[in-house]
Amino acid sequence: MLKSAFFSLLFCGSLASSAQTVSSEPFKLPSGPLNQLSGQAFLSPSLKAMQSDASTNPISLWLEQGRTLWNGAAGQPSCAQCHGDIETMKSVAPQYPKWSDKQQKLINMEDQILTCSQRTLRPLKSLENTELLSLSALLHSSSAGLPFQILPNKDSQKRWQVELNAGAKLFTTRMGRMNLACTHCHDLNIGKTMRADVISPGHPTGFPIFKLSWQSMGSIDRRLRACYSGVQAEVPAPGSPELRQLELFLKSRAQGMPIEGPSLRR
Amino acid sequence: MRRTSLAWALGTCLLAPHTSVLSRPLNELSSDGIDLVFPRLADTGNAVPLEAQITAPSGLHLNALKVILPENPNPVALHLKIMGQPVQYTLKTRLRLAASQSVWLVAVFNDGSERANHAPTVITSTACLDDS
Amino acid sequence: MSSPILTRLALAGQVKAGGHVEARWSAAHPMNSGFRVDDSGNRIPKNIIHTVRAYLNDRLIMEADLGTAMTSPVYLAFPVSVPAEGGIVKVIWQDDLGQMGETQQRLVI
Repeated sequence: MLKSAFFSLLFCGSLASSAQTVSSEPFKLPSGPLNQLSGQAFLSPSLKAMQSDASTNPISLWLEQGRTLWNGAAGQPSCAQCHGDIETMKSVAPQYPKWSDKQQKLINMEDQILTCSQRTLRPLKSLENTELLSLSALLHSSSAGLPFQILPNKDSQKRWQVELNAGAKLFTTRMGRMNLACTHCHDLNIGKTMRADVISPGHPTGFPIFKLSWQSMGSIDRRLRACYSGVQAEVPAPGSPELRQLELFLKSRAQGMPIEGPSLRR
Repeated sequence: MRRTSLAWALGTCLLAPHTSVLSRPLNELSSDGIDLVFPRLADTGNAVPLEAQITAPSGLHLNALKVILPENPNPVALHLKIMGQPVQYTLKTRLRLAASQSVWLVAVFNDGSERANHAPTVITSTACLDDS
Repeated sequence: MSSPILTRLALAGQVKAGGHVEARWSAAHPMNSGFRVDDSGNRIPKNIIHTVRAYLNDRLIMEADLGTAMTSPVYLAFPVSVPAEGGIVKVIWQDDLGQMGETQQRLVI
């Protein structure tokens, strides 16, 4: 009888015990100074398992596309034609963001990929484009294990310092309806739960990330914009200087920490 | 009498398009031969992993599987039709949950009979709306 | 849609005639449920993969109807029996916009 079917489904709480294995272990942070932890430490065992197996890790899809784009399908222009094997590019991602004299602004890895692509026959159009993120994922994956190497160019040291100072100031300036600065959560409240996630120090070692709440890959630009939204501040447009300044500051703050390659986040 | 009618009305709204999926009240079905692996506390409602191992009763084989999430806006998550007459089957997938609830796995056998098992989970963030 | 949907098919387990492998299929389809809104507050229209079919040597072995509760990327793992002569496992998907895609893997004994 349909009537009782719906009734049962709605009130199906008190039923006989089912044959079920509990698969999730409680999430615990490692002991030691929390401010040195990468986002990896804030993943549950279940998410770590998803990430460690290529056939279950969503990022595999983007990495495979990245490899195809890099090496080029037959007859198609490829990144490898100019840049060679991806292995030779491993020291590239750790250096970004960089000050560009030509563009008179800080550019990050995604900006650079976008610029590069515009010199080819298949220019990419936006920072969050799937192909761009695939290439960023591939480049960061090739740098996995290498520390951030954020240094100014010889001829633009002063300007670089101005940008870094701007980033540091942003990190410690209150903003938004919630009137919070980045430092309030990411230095002072690491390990506490907020918005169904655990507050990390915010070291950018896992970008580009596959964020489960986005159900797709995204760049550091997108994640920082989400931070502004998180404190109910006006969200800067993609590519805004303040986002690059923050990225420069965050990576300097994380100086010496190894890049993890593209990672899963909640 | 009124409460039953109310429950029925609510149920109709919730599941009307999917009445054909349910032939009998799920809790009346035997759960023998169906093992579910589903986290008690999900990291996020956006990707809750489900593993289902089904063994058909002797003399029968598996024809179809249904994954049902009663609290989701569209409760029928998956309807898998199986050829090849297997006696054993392992299905793995990931689901998006709107709210804390039990996932139901219904196994349909070649004689039309069904078995069902369920597993509860608690989620802390809903998949359907929030993409911050 | 301009960019193609990335898919991946892996066959896990020892490939032995008469045995089983686990086909692990995923597709980076947006799987828009129709419930979410974009940054401007406009509802993102529903577009999900609604049907997935798996073939072994061109014979249909599994057909799945997917609902909006399936994640993005979609992930589905199911058993494939290994015939004595080996063969090709093919998975085809189709979405609400009528887009289709196909991925193959070879079963080598």
